Amino acid sequence: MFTTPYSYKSITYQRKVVAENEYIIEYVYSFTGSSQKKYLVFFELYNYNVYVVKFCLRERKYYSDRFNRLTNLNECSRVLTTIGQIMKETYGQNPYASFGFIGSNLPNEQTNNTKRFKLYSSIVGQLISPVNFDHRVSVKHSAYLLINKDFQEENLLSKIEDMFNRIYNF
Amino acid sequence: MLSLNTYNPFETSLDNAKVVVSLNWLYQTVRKYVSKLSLMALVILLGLPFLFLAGLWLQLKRRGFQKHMRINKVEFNNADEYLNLKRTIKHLSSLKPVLTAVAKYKISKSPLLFRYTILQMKRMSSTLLTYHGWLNSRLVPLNEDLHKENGKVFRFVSERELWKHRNKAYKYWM
Repeated sequence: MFTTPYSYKSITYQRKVVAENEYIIEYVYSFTGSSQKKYLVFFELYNYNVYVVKFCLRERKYYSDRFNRLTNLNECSRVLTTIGQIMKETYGQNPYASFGFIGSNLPNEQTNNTKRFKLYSSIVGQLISPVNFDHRVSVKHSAYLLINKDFQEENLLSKIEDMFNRIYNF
Repeated sequence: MLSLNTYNPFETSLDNAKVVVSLNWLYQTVRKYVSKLSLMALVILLGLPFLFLAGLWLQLKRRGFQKHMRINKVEFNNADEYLNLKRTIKHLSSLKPVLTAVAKYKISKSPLLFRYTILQMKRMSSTLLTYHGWLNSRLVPLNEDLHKENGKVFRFVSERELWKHRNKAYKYWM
């Protein structure tokens, strides 16, 4: 389990404005699952080399709830393995990369300690060693943060938290 | 025909039985009086040199190990090296109760002939316990929150906590 990814490709990257004077670079990847449905993976590069990882079905990319709906395609483990491979590749290209993700709530679910957050944090805790990354969780926001230990920046955590607070109202 | 007449199977069987009984009596007598003596002789001739050699072997092994312990510092820079370290700690931890017990042996109370070997066992145990402590100390930075003063939103997850909930069948991605 968590060893066989789908083959993926990098589609594009673009600069985006997310808040006042806050820019990110969004890297977009694509892959096809066993169900022949296409997925899009977004690696959003914020300040301090923080990549926030998001993914959804390509057919739902224009829906506002694209990150909330379940696909019910039963290919979760391989989808997550593929995203893990993209993370690994990103880390290879940027050895100072830190990663973060939010476990979006399902429709009619609270935003704290979501079902997705529980699943993702359990998987990340088991598949990413604590050697190179500092593991951090926020149950309240259903968020997981992997801080790169090689990236030396004073008060890095508080700077990242401030940044997320400005952008996402943490 | 003559030979057939002289062979008496009943007498032969009785003679054989007498021989067996006599041999049995001899065996029992030897076993009764000589067993303790021969055992002592065997211990002295074979056991003590073996014990001494085992002690010497332990002493040489310990010296070599101590040298490597100091020179080759335990460091891990990736997930595989971390897993190796954890595996070694796990194996040593399972042997720790025995090692601790051996390290507590009192040499003055042990039999004179065994003292050298027991001393070497005691020293080796002590060295291994020190090494176990060193290995564990390498994990301390992974269990310390480096951003304790700064963070408000995100809670630190220690290595101990991650390891506790880890499925050992999975391989680390990075």
